[in-house]
Amino acid sequence: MQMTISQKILSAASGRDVLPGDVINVPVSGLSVHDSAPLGIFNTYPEARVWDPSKIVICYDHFSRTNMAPYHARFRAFIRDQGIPPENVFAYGRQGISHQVPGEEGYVLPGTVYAVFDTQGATLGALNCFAFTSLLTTPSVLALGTALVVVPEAVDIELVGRLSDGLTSKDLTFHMHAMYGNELLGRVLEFRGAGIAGLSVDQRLGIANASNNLGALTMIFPGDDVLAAYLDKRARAPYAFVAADPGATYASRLTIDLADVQPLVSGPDAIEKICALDDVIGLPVTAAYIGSCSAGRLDDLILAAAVLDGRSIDPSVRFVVTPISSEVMREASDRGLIAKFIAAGAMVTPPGCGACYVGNQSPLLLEDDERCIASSVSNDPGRMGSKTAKIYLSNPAVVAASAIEGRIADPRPYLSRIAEQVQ
Amino acid sequence: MILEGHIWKYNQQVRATDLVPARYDYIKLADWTECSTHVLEDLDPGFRETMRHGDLIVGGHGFGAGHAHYFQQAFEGPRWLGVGGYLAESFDPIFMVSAIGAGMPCWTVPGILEFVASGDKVKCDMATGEIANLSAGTTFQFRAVAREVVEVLEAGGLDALTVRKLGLDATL
Repeated sequence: MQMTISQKILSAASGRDVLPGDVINVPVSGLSVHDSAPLGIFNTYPEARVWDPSKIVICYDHFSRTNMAPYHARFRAFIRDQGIPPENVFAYGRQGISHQVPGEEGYVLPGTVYAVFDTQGATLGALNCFAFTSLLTTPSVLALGTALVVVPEAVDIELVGRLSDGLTSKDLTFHMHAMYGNELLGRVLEFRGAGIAGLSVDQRLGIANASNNLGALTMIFPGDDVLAAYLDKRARAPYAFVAADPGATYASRLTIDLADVQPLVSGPDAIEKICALDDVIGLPVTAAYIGSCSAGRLDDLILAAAVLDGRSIDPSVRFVVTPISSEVMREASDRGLIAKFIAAGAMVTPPGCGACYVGNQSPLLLEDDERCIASSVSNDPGRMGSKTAKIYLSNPAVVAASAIEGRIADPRPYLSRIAEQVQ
Repeated sequence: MILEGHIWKYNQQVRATDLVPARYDYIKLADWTECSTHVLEDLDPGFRETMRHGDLIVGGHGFGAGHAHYFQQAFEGPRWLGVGGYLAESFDPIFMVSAIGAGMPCWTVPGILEFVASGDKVKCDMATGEIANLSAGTTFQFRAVAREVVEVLEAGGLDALTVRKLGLDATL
Protein backbone atom coordinates (compact mmCIF):
# COMPACT_ATOMS: atom_id res chain seq x y z
CA MET A 1 0.00 0.00 0.00
CA GLN A 2 1.27 3.48 -0.90
CA MET A 3 1.16 5.53 2.30
CA THR A 4 1.23 9.09 3.60
CA ILE A 5 3.78 9.99 6.29
CA SER A 6 1.18 9.71 9.05
CA GLN A 7 -0.05 6.34 7.77
CA LYS A 8 3.51 5.02 7.72
CA ILE A 9 4.26 6.17 11.25
CA LEU A 10 0.95 4.94 12.71
CA SER A 11 1.15 1.65 10.82
CA ALA A 12 4.69 0.97 12.00
CA ALA A 13 3.78 1.77 15.62
CA SER A 14 0.52 -0.20 15.69
CA GLY A 15 1.81 -3.19 13.72
CA ARG A 16 -0.85 -3.11 11.02
CA ASP A 17 -1.62 -1.03 7.94
CA VAL A 18 -3.99 1.73 8.95
CA LEU A 19 -6.51 3.68 6.90
CA PRO A 20 -8.12 7.05 7.61
CA GLY A 21 -11.09 6.61 9.93
CA ASP A 22 -9.59 3.61 11.72
CA VAL A 23 -9.57 3.93 15.50
CA ILE A 24 -6.41 2.46 16.95
CA ASN A 25 -4.83 1.94 20.33
CA VAL A 26 -1.36 2.96 19.27
CA PRO A 27 1.75 2.47 21.44
CA VAL A 28 3.51 5.79 22.00
CA SER A 29 7.28 6.25 22.07
CA GLY A 30 6.96 8.80 24.84
CA LEU A 31 4.61 11.11 26.72
CA SER A 32 5.22 14.62 27.98
CA VAL A 33 3.05 16.05 30.73
CA HIS A 34 3.15 19.45 32.37
CA ASP A 35 2.80 20.59 35.94
CA SER A 36 -0.96 20.93 35.98
CA ALA A 37 -1.75 17.66 34.23
CA PRO A 38 -4.60 15.66 35.77
CA LEU A 39 -3.40 12.40 37.25
CA GLY A 40 -6.88 10.88 37.37
CA ILE A 41 -6.71 7.19 38.24
CA PHE A 42 -3.27 7.67 39.81
CA ASN A 43 -4.93 9.75 42.51
CA THR A 44 -7.71 7.22 43.00
CA TYR A 45 -5.45 4.17 42.89
CA PRO A 46 -2.05 4.99 44.40
CA GLU A 47 -0.89 1.47 43.56
CA ALA A 48 -1.29 2.18 39.81
CA ARG A 49 2.05 2.28 37.98
CA VAL A 50 3.03 4.19 34.85
CA TRP A 51 3.84 1.94 31.90
CA ASP A 52 7.50 2.97 31.61
CA PRO A 53 8.96 5.74 33.81
CA SER A 54 11.88 6.27 31.41
CA LYS A 55 9.49 7.25 28.58
CA ILE A 56 7.78 10.01 30.54
CA VAL A 57 8.98 13.60 30.48
CA ILE A 58 7.69 16.10 33.04
CA CYS A 59 7.87 19.79 32.15
CA TYR A 60 7.02 22.59 34.51
CA ASP A 61 5.50 25.35 32.41
CA HIS A 62 2.07 26.47 33.61
CA PHE A 63 2.96 27.35 37.20
CA SER A 64 -0.69 27.47 38.10
CA ARG A 65 -1.68 30.51 40.15
CA THR A 66 -4.03 28.87 42.61
CA ASN A 67 -2.89 26.57 45.40
CA MET A 68 0.39 26.09 43.61
CA ALA A 69 2.56 24.89 46.47
CA PRO A 70 0.38 22.00 47.69
CA TYR A 71 -0.29 20.91 44.13
CA HIS A 72 3.39 20.87 43.20
CA ALA A 73 4.21 18.87 46.31
CA ARG A 74 1.67 16.23 45.26
CA PHE A 75 3.09 16.27 41.77
CA ARG A 76 6.65 15.76 43.04
CA ALA A 77 5.41 12.87 45.16
CA PHE A 78 3.89 11.30 42.04
CA ILE A 79 7.19 11.68 40.16
CA ARG A 80 9.13 10.08 43.04
CA ASP A 81 6.64 7.27 43.65
CA GLN A 82 6.55 6.32 39.98
CA GLY A 83 10.33 6.30 39.65
CA ILE A 84 10.42 8.83 36.82
CA PRO A 85 14.14 9.57 36.35
CA PRO A 86 15.19 13.01 37.66
CA GLU A 87 16.83 13.79 34.31
CA ASN A 88 13.38 13.53 32.68
CA VAL A 89 11.97 16.16 35.03
CA PHE A 90 12.36 19.72 33.75
CA ALA A 91 11.46 21.80 36.77
CA TYR A 92 12.87 24.93 38.38
CA GLY A 93 15.87 26.19 36.41
CA ARG A 94 15.39 23.61 33.68
CA GLN A 95 11.73 24.33 33.04
CA GLY A 96 10.08 25.00 29.74
CA ILE A 97 6.97 24.28 27.75
CA SER A 98 5.98 20.62 27.62
CA HIS A 99 5.85 20.47 23.82
CA GLN A 100 9.17 22.26 23.32
CA VAL A 101 11.54 20.77 25.88
CA PRO A 102 11.18 17.10 24.79
CA GLY A 103 12.29 18.22 21.32
CA GLU A 104 15.19 20.29 22.60
CA GLU A 105 16.29 17.43 24.81
CA GLY A 106 16.20 14.79 22.08
CA TYR A 107 13.37 12.63 23.43
CA VAL A 108 11.28 13.15 20.30
CA LEU A 109 12.54 11.41 17.18
CA PRO A 110 11.44 11.31 13.54
CA GLY A 111 9.17 8.41 12.68
CA THR A 112 7.76 8.01 16.18
CA VAL A 113 4.36 8.52 17.79
CA TYR A 114 4.73 11.08 20.58
CA ALA A 115 1.95 12.07 22.99
CA VAL A 116 1.70 15.31 24.94
CA PHE A 117 -0.92 16.11 27.56
CA ASP A 118 -1.09 19.78 26.54
CA THR A 119 -3.64 20.85 23.93
CA GLN A 120 -0.84 22.10 21.68
CA GLY A 121 1.03 18.79 21.59
CA ALA A 122 0.97 18.67 17.78
CA THR A 123 3.72 21.30 17.84
CA LEU A 124 6.37 18.56 17.88
CA GLY A 125 5.19 17.34 14.45
CA ALA A 126 7.82 19.77 13.14
CA LEU A 127 10.30 16.99 13.97
CA ASN A 128 8.93 14.54 11.35
CA CYS A 129 6.93 12.56 13.88
CA PHE A 130 3.26 11.96 14.67
CA ALA A 131 2.83 14.23 17.69
CA PHE A 132 -0.57 14.86 19.20
CA THR A 133 -2.34 15.85 22.38
CA SER A 134 -3.56 12.98 24.51
CA LEU A 135 -5.44 15.63 26.52
CA LEU A 136 -8.00 14.08 28.88
CA THR A 137 -7.01 10.53 27.97
CA THR A 138 -3.54 11.20 29.45
CA PRO A 139 -3.96 9.16 32.68
CA SER A 140 -4.76 6.12 30.54
CA VAL A 141 -1.71 6.74 28.31
CA LEU A 142 0.45 7.08 31.44
CA ALA A 143 -0.81 3.72 32.65
CA LEU A 144 -0.91 1.71 29.43
CA GLY A 145 1.57 3.40 27.07
CA THR A 146 -1.04 3.34 24.33
CA ALA A 147 -3.28 6.09 23.05
CA LEU A 148 -6.67 6.06 21.38
CA VAL A 149 -6.19 7.76 18.00
CA VAL A 150 -8.57 8.26 15.10
CA VAL A 151 -6.40 7.88 12.00
CA PRO A 152 -6.92 11.18 10.20
CA GLU A 153 -7.21 11.88 6.51
CA ALA A 154 -4.12 13.65 5.24
CA VAL A 155 -3.74 16.90 3.34
CA ASP A 156 -0.65 17.34 1.18
CA ILE A 157 0.64 20.91 1.43
CA GLU A 158 3.41 22.01 -0.88
CA LEU A 159 5.24 25.10 0.35
CA VAL A 160 7.08 27.16 -2.25
CA GLY A 161 8.82 30.55 -2.12
CA ARG A 162 9.98 32.46 0.95
CA LEU A 163 8.27 34.39 3.72
CA SER A 164 8.88 38.14 3.46
CA ASP A 165 11.26 39.63 6.04
CA GLY A 166 9.62 40.20 9.39
CA LEU A 167 6.91 37.58 8.86
CA THR A 168 6.75 34.36 10.85
CA SER A 169 4.83 31.14 11.37
CA LYS A 170 2.11 33.30 12.92
CA ASP A 171 1.33 35.04 9.62
CA LEU A 172 1.54 31.81 7.64
CA THR A 173 -0.87 29.93 9.90
CA PHE A 174 -3.35 32.85 9.93
CA HIS A 175 -3.05 32.83 6.13
CA MET A 176 -3.85 29.10 6.11
CA HIS A 177 -6.79 29.70 8.44
CA ALA A 178 -8.21 32.46 6.26
CA MET A 179 -7.61 30.64 2.96
CA TYR A 180 -8.42 27.03 3.76
CA GLY A 181 -10.30 26.94 7.09
CA ASN A 182 -12.68 24.01 6.90
CA GLU A 183 -10.58 22.06 4.41
CA LEU A 184 -8.11 21.30 7.20
CA LEU A 185 -10.60 20.21 9.89
CA GLY A 186 -9.79 16.94 11.58
CA ARG A 187 -6.94 16.20 9.22
CA VAL A 188 -3.19 15.75 9.42
CA LEU A 189 -1.32 18.32 7.33
CA GLU A 190 1.79 16.90 5.70
CA PHE A 191 4.22 19.42 4.27
CA ARG A 192 6.66 19.12 1.41
CA GLY A 193 8.26 21.44 -1.13
CA ALA A 194 11.17 23.77 -1.75
CA GLY A 195 9.80 26.42 0.61
CA ILE A 196 10.52 24.29 3.67
CA ALA A 197 14.30 24.70 3.44
CA GLY A 198 13.88 28.42 4.19
CA LEU A 199 11.95 27.74 7.40
CA SER A 200 13.97 27.23 10.58
CA VAL A 201 12.96 24.46 13.00
CA ASP A 202 11.71 27.24 15.29
CA GLN A 203 9.33 28.41 12.56
CA ARG A 204 8.24 24.86 11.77
CA LEU A 205 7.40 24.29 15.45
CA GLY A 206 5.44 27.55 15.38
CA ILE A 207 3.52 26.38 12.32
CA ALA A 208 2.69 22.93 13.70
CA ASN A 209 1.61 24.66 16.92
CA ALA A 210 -1.40 26.04 15.04
CA SER A 211 -2.84 22.56 14.42
CA ASN A 212 -5.37 22.87 17.21
CA ASN A 213 -6.45 26.36 16.15
CA LEU A 214 -6.91 25.16 12.58
CA GLY A 215 -8.92 22.16 13.79
CA ALA A 216 -6.28 19.80 12.39
CA LEU A 217 -5.23 16.78 14.43
CA THR A 218 -1.57 17.46 13.77
CA MET A 219 0.99 18.47 11.16
CA ILE A 220 4.10 16.66 9.99
CA PHE A 221 7.15 18.24 8.40
CA PRO A 222 9.50 16.12 6.31
CA GLY A 223 13.10 15.41 7.25
CA ASP A 224 15.82 17.54 5.69
CA ASP A 225 19.28 18.97 6.42
CA VAL A 226 17.83 21.73 8.59
CA LEU A 227 16.07 19.22 10.83
CA ALA A 228 19.09 16.88 10.84
CA ALA A 229 21.26 19.78 12.05
CA TYR A 230 18.73 20.48 14.84
CA LEU A 231 18.66 16.85 15.94
CA ASP A 232 22.44 16.49 15.83
CA LYS A 233 23.70 16.34 19.43
CA ARG A 234 20.10 16.23 20.70
CA ALA A 235 18.68 12.88 19.54
CA ARG A 236 18.87 10.27 22.29
CA ALA A 237 18.69 7.36 19.85
CA PRO A 238 19.32 6.69 16.16
CA TYR A 239 16.44 7.68 13.90
CA ALA A 240 15.37 7.67 10.27
CA PHE A 241 13.28 10.27 8.47
CA VAL A 242 9.93 9.17 7.08
CA ALA A 243 8.69 10.37 3.68
CA ALA A 244 5.39 9.77 1.90
CA ASP A 245 5.16 7.25 -0.93
CA PRO A 246 4.65 8.81 -4.37
CA GLY A 247 1.25 7.16 -4.78
CA ALA A 248 -0.06 7.95 -1.29
CA THR A 249 -3.71 9.01 -1.08
CA TYR A 250 -4.41 12.52 0.19
CA ALA A 251 -7.84 13.97 0.89
CA SER A 252 -6.71 17.16 -0.81
CA ARG A 253 -3.58 18.84 -2.13
CA LEU A 254 -2.71 22.50 -1.66
CA THR A 255 0.17 24.69 -2.73
CA ILE A 256 1.06 27.73 -0.66
CA ASP A 257 3.48 30.33 -1.99
CA LEU A 258 5.10 31.76 1.13
CA ALA A 259 5.71 35.00 -0.76
CA ASP A 260 1.92 35.52 -0.88
CA VAL A 261 1.70 35.69 2.92
CA GLN A 262 1.05 39.19 4.27
CA PRO A 263 1.17 40.46 7.88
CA LEU A 264 -2.04 39.26 9.51
CA VAL A 265 -3.77 39.74 12.85
CA SER A 266 -6.35 37.54 14.57
CA GLY A 267 -8.98 38.81 16.93
CA PRO A 268 -10.47 39.92 19.07
CA ASP A 269 -12.43 37.14 20.81
CA ALA A 270 -12.08 34.45 18.12
CA ILE A 271 -9.10 32.93 16.37
CA GLU A 272 -10.90 32.76 13.03
CA LYS A 273 -11.41 36.54 12.98
CA ILE A 274 -8.40 37.25 10.79
CA CYS A 275 -7.63 40.55 9.11
CA ALA A 276 -4.74 42.39 7.47
CA LEU A 277 -2.43 44.17 9.88
CA ASP A 278 -3.23 47.40 8.00
CA ASP A 279 -6.89 47.11 9.06
CA VAL A 280 -6.12 47.39 12.77
CA ILE A 281 -3.10 49.69 12.77
CA GLY A 282 -3.53 52.54 15.25
CA LEU A 283 -5.79 50.77 17.76
CA PRO A 284 -4.43 51.74 21.20
CA VAL A 285 -3.00 48.91 23.34
CA THR A 286 -2.05 48.89 27.01
CA ALA A 287 -0.73 45.34 27.23
CA ALA A 288 1.67 43.42 25.02
CA TYR A 289 2.99 39.89 25.30
CA ILE A 290 5.68 37.91 23.50
CA GLY A 291 5.90 34.27 24.45
CA SER A 292 3.95 30.99 24.57
CA CYS A 293 4.33 27.75 22.66
CA SER A 294 3.24 29.60 19.54
CA ALA A 295 5.97 32.24 19.47
CA GLY A 296 8.42 32.25 22.38
CA ARG A 297 11.34 30.65 20.54
CA LEU A 298 14.76 32.06 19.79
CA ASP A 299 13.75 33.13 16.25
CA ASP A 300 10.83 35.06 17.70
CA LEU A 301 12.98 36.77 20.33
CA ILE A 302 15.66 37.70 17.76
CA LEU A 303 13.01 39.31 15.58
CA ALA A 304 11.38 41.19 18.46
CA ALA A 305 14.75 42.36 19.76
CA ALA A 306 15.61 43.66 16.29
CA VAL A 307 12.49 45.83 16.37
CA LEU A 308 13.11 47.01 19.94
CA ASP A 309 16.85 47.56 19.60
CA GLY A 310 17.74 50.90 21.25
CA ARG A 311 14.11 51.99 21.54
CA SER A 312 11.82 52.35 24.53
CA ILE A 313 8.34 51.00 24.88
CA ASP A 314 5.45 53.38 25.49
CA PRO A 315 5.25 53.88 29.28
CA SER A 316 1.49 53.23 29.22
CA VAL A 317 2.05 49.67 27.94
CA ARG A 318 2.66 46.66 30.20
CA PHE A 319 5.00 44.60 28.08
CA VAL A 320 5.94 41.06 29.11
CA VAL A 321 8.36 38.69 27.40
CA THR A 322 8.48 34.99 28.36
CA PRO A 323 10.99 32.66 26.65
CA ILE A 324 9.55 29.25 25.84
CA SER A 325 12.23 27.25 27.66
CA SER A 326 15.34 27.47 29.78
CA GLU A 327 17.48 26.64 26.75
CA VAL A 328 15.96 29.53 24.82
CA MET A 329 16.37 31.83 27.86
CA ARG A 330 20.07 30.94 28.13
CA GLU A 331 20.64 31.41 24.41
CA ALA A 332 18.72 34.71 24.38
CA SER A 333 20.80 35.86 27.32
CA ASP A 334 24.10 34.86 25.67
CA ARG A 335 23.13 36.76 22.54
CA GLY A 336 22.23 39.92 24.45
CA LEU A 337 18.55 39.75 23.56
CA ILE A 338 17.35 39.75 27.17
CA ALA A 339 19.39 42.90 27.82
CA LYS A 340 17.69 44.57 24.86
CA PHE A 341 14.22 43.68 26.14
CA ILE A 342 15.02 44.99 29.59
CA ALA A 343 16.60 48.16 28.20
CA ALA A 344 13.44 48.79 26.18
CA GLY A 345 11.31 48.53 29.33
CA ALA A 346 9.95 45.00 29.04
CA MET A 347 9.39 42.64 31.95
CA VAL A 348 11.19 39.38 31.17
CA THR A 349 9.80 36.46 33.15
CA PRO A 350 11.15 32.97 33.82
CA PRO A 351 10.48 30.51 30.98
CA GLY A 352 7.11 28.82 30.62
CA CYS A 353 3.62 29.44 29.27
CA GLY A 354 3.57 32.91 30.81
CA ALA A 355 0.70 35.31 30.17
CA CYS A 356 -0.96 33.17 27.49
CA TYR A 357 -3.47 31.77 29.96
CA VAL A 358 -5.17 33.45 32.90
CA GLY A 359 -4.67 30.39 35.12
CA ASN A 360 -0.89 30.75 35.03
CA GLN A 361 1.26 32.80 37.34
CA SER A 362 1.17 35.69 34.93
CA PRO A 363 2.07 39.30 35.63
CA LEU A 364 -0.21 40.36 32.79
CA LEU A 365 -3.76 39.69 33.91
CA LEU A 366 -5.84 41.82 31.56
CA GLU A 367 -8.31 44.32 32.97
CA ASP A 368 -11.88 44.96 31.82
CA ASP A 369 -12.03 46.37 28.29
CA GLU A 370 -8.25 46.50 28.01
CA ARG A 371 -6.75 45.87 24.57
CA CYS A 372 -3.75 43.56 24.31
CA ILE A 373 -1.52 42.52 21.43
CA ALA A 374 0.10 39.13 21.91
CA SER A 375 2.05 36.49 20.01
CA SER A 376 0.38 33.69 21.95
CA VAL A 377 -2.06 30.93 21.11
CA SER A 378 -5.59 31.96 21.90
CA ASN A 379 -7.76 35.06 22.06
CA ASP A 380 -10.96 33.59 23.46
CA PRO A 381 -12.71 36.00 25.87
CA GLY A 382 -11.19 35.66 29.34
CA ARG A 383 -8.12 33.84 28.09
CA MET A 384 -5.64 36.35 29.55
CA GLY A 385 -7.74 37.93 32.30
CA SER A 386 -11.00 39.86 32.10
CA LYS A 387 -13.66 38.45 29.80
CA THR A 388 -14.18 41.93 28.36
CA ALA A 389 -10.51 42.46 27.48
CA LYS A 390 -9.78 42.35 23.75
CA ILE A 391 -6.87 40.17 22.64
CA TYR A 392 -5.31 40.57 19.19
CA LEU A 393 -2.77 37.98 18.09
CA SER A 394 0.12 38.72 15.74
CA ASN A 395 3.74 37.87 15.07
CA PRO A 396 6.30 39.06 17.67
CA ALA A 397 7.61 41.91 15.47
CA VAL A 398 4.12 43.45 15.43
CA VAL A 399 3.86 43.02 19.20
CA ALA A 400 7.22 44.74 19.72
CA ALA A 401 6.39 47.63 17.38
CA SER A 402 2.98 48.03 19.08
CA ALA A 403 4.62 48.12 22.52
CA ILE A 404 6.88 50.95 21.30
CA GLU A 405 4.01 53.00 19.88
CA GLY A 406 1.25 52.19 22.37
CA ARG A 407 -1.02 51.20 19.50
CA ILE A 408 -1.05 48.37 17.00
CA ALA A 409 1.84 49.20 14.69
CA ASP A 410 3.62 48.00 11.57
CA PRO A 411 7.12 46.75 12.43
CA ARG A 412 8.42 46.95 8.88
CA PRO A 413 9.74 50.53 9.10
CA TYR A 414 11.83 49.51 12.14
CA LEU A 415 13.09 46.41 10.44
CA SER A 416 13.90 48.14 7.14
CA ARG A 417 16.03 50.73 8.95
CA ILE A 418 17.99 47.86 10.46
CA ALA A 419 18.37 46.30 7.02
CA GLU A 420 19.71 49.64 5.70
CA GLN A 421 22.19 49.87 8.57
CA VAL A 422 23.41 46.37 7.85
CA GLN A 423 23.96 47.25 4.20
CA MET B 1 -23.93 -0.05 22.45
CA ILE B 2 -27.40 1.30 21.67
CA LEU B 3 -28.31 4.98 21.59
CA GLU B 4 -32.00 5.82 21.56
CA GLY B 5 -33.47 9.28 21.65
CA HIS B 6 -34.80 12.27 19.80
CA ILE B 7 -32.68 14.21 17.35
CA TRP B 8 -31.58 17.81 17.78
CA LYS B 9 -30.10 18.63 14.40
CA TYR B 10 -27.94 21.64 13.58
CA ASN B 11 -27.03 21.95 9.89
CA GLN B 12 -23.67 23.47 10.65
CA GLN B 13 -20.39 22.89 12.40
CA VAL B 14 -21.22 22.64 16.10
CA ARG B 15 -18.11 23.92 17.86
CA ALA B 16 -17.07 23.11 21.42
CA THR B 17 -17.98 26.62 22.47
CA ASP B 18 -21.44 26.23 20.89
CA LEU B 19 -22.08 23.27 23.19
CA VAL B 20 -21.11 25.35 26.23
CA PRO B 21 -20.08 28.98 25.60
CA ALA B 22 -16.46 29.96 26.35
CA ARG B 23 -17.60 32.58 28.87
CA TYR B 24 -18.33 29.71 31.24
CA ASP B 25 -14.84 28.35 31.89
CA TYR B 26 -15.26 25.21 33.98
CA ILE B 27 -11.78 23.78 33.62
CA LYS B 28 -10.90 24.91 37.14
CA LEU B 29 -14.30 24.51 38.73
CA ALA B 30 -15.37 21.15 37.31
CA ASP B 31 -18.90 21.88 38.49
CA TRP B 32 -20.72 19.96 35.81
CA THR B 33 -24.18 20.41 37.30
CA GLU B 34 -23.85 24.17 36.97
CA CYS B 35 -22.19 23.70 33.58
CA SER B 36 -25.15 21.67 32.36
CA THR B 37 -27.41 24.72 32.79
CA HIS B 38 -25.58 26.48 29.93
CA VAL B 39 -25.72 23.75 27.25
CA LEU B 40 -26.36 25.21 23.77
CA GLU B 41 -27.26 28.48 25.47
CA ASP B 42 -26.37 30.61 22.44
CA LEU B 43 -27.05 28.21 19.56
CA ASP B 44 -30.44 26.95 20.78
CA PRO B 45 -31.68 28.70 23.93
CA GLY B 46 -34.79 26.49 24.12
CA PHE B 47 -32.87 23.23 24.15
CA ARG B 48 -32.44 22.75 27.89
CA GLU B 49 -36.13 23.26 28.64
CA THR B 50 -37.45 20.75 26.12
CA MET B 51 -34.76 18.09 25.65
CA ARG B 52 -35.37 14.63 27.08
CA HIS B 53 -32.92 12.23 28.63
CA GLY B 54 -30.99 10.33 25.97
CA ASP B 55 -31.59 12.83 23.18
CA LEU B 56 -28.89 13.07 20.55
CA ILE B 57 -27.19 16.17 19.14
CA VAL B 58 -26.44 16.02 15.43
CA GLY B 59 -24.13 18.39 13.56
CA GLY B 60 -22.12 18.87 10.39
CA HIS B 61 -18.41 18.58 9.76
CA GLY B 62 -15.77 19.24 12.40
CA PHE B 63 -18.11 18.72 15.36
CA GLY B 64 -16.48 19.86 18.62
CA ALA B 65 -13.68 21.90 17.03
CA GLY B 66 -12.20 24.84 18.86
CA HIS B 67 -9.58 25.40 21.50
CA ALA B 68 -9.16 22.18 23.44
CA HIS B 69 -9.30 24.15 26.68
CA TYR B 70 -13.10 24.17 26.22
CA PHE B 71 -13.51 20.51 25.24
CA GLN B 72 -14.19 18.96 28.62
CA GLN B 73 -17.09 21.26 29.44
CA ALA B 74 -18.46 20.67 25.93
CA PHE B 75 -19.14 17.02 26.66
CA GLU B 76 -19.43 16.96 30.47
CA GLY B 77 -22.12 19.70 30.54
CA PRO B 78 -24.35 17.96 27.99
CA ARG B 79 -23.64 14.55 29.54
CA TRP B 80 -24.76 15.76 32.97
CA LEU B 81 -27.85 17.25 31.36
CA GLY B 82 -28.69 13.83 29.95
CA VAL B 83 -27.61 14.15 26.31
CA GLY B 84 -27.09 10.62 25.02
CA GLY B 85 -24.43 11.26 22.41
CA TYR B 86 -23.21 13.17 19.39
CA LEU B 87 -23.62 12.14 15.75
CA ALA B 88 -21.92 14.21 13.07
CA GLU B 89 -20.74 14.23 9.48
CA SER B 90 -17.24 14.37 10.99
CA PHE B 91 -15.61 15.24 14.29
CA ASP B 92 -12.64 17.17 15.51
CA PRO B 93 -10.44 14.14 16.25
CA ILE B 94 -9.11 15.38 19.59
CA PHE B 95 -12.58 16.34 20.77
CA MET B 96 -13.91 12.98 19.67
CA VAL B 97 -11.27 10.93 21.47
CA SER B 98 -11.58 13.09 24.59
CA ALA B 99 -15.36 12.74 24.69
CA ILE B 100 -15.27 8.99 24.08
CA GLY B 101 -12.57 8.71 26.73
CA ALA B 102 -14.99 10.32 29.17
CA GLY B 103 -17.72 7.90 28.15
CA MET B 104 -19.69 10.27 25.89
CA PRO B 105 -20.67 8.47 22.67
CA CYS B 106 -19.52 10.13 19.44
CA TRP B 107 -20.16 8.59 16.06
CA THR B 108 -19.02 9.78 12.66
CA VAL B 109 -21.96 9.17 10.34
CA PRO B 110 -21.46 10.60 6.84
CA GLY B 111 -24.92 11.52 5.52
CA ILE B 112 -26.55 11.89 8.93
CA LEU B 113 -27.80 15.42 8.15
CA GLU B 114 -29.83 13.94 5.26
CA PHE B 115 -31.06 10.94 7.15
CA VAL B 116 -32.61 12.57 10.21
CA ALA B 117 -34.65 15.65 11.03
CA SER B 118 -34.95 17.44 14.35
CA GLY B 119 -37.49 15.70 16.54
CA ASP B 120 -37.10 12.29 14.89
CA LYS B 121 -36.78 9.39 17.27
CA VAL B 122 -33.87 7.16 16.33
CA LYS B 123 -32.30 3.95 17.55
CA CYS B 124 -28.59 3.60 16.82
CA ASP B 125 -26.57 0.43 17.23
CA MET B 126 -23.00 1.65 17.28
CA ALA B 127 -21.52 -1.85 17.18
CA THR B 128 -23.39 -2.95 14.04
CA GLY B 129 -23.69 0.46 12.35
CA GLU B 130 -27.47 0.29 11.97
CA ILE B 131 -29.52 3.41 12.55
CA ALA B 132 -33.30 3.09 12.59
CA ASN B 133 -35.26 6.31 12.17
CA LEU B 134 -38.34 5.25 14.15
CA SER B 135 -40.27 8.40 13.19
CA ALA B 136 -39.68 8.02 9.45
CA GLY B 137 -39.79 4.23 9.50
CA THR B 138 -36.48 3.93 7.70
CA THR B 139 -33.29 2.06 8.51
CA PHE B 140 -29.83 2.69 7.20
CA GLN B 141 -26.54 0.92 7.51
CA PHE B 142 -23.51 3.06 8.34
CA ARG B 143 -19.90 2.23 9.11
CA ALA B 144 -19.91 0.58 12.53
CA VAL B 145 -18.00 2.14 15.39
CA ALA B 146 -14.56 0.63 16.01
CA ARG B 147 -14.37 -2.20 18.54
CA GLU B 148 -11.85 -0.09 20.48
CA VAL B 149 -14.44 2.67 20.90
CA VAL B 150 -17.30 0.38 21.88
CA GLU B 151 -15.01 -1.20 24.46
CA VAL B 152 -14.32 2.21 26.03
CA LEU B 153 -17.98 3.29 26.00
CA GLU B 154 -19.23 0.02 27.46
CA ALA B 155 -16.67 0.28 30.26
CA GLY B 156 -18.01 3.77 31.04
CA GLY B 157 -14.91 5.60 29.85
CA LEU B 158 -11.20 5.20 29.39
CA ASP B 159 -10.29 5.54 33.07
CA ALA B 160 -12.65 2.75 34.06
CA LEU B 161 -11.37 0.57 31.23
CA THR B 162 -7.76 1.25 32.22
CA VAL B 163 -8.44 0.42 35.86
CA ARG B 164 -10.04 -2.83 34.73
CA LYS B 165 -7.14 -3.67 32.41
CA LEU B 166 -4.66 -3.07 35.21
CA GLY B 167 -6.74 -5.16 37.60
CA LEU B 168 -6.83 -2.33 40.14
CA ASP B 169 -10.47 -2.67 41.09
CA ALA B 170 -12.19 -6.02 41.32
CA THR B 171 -15.62 -4.42 40.99
CA LEU B 172 -14.90 -3.10 37.47
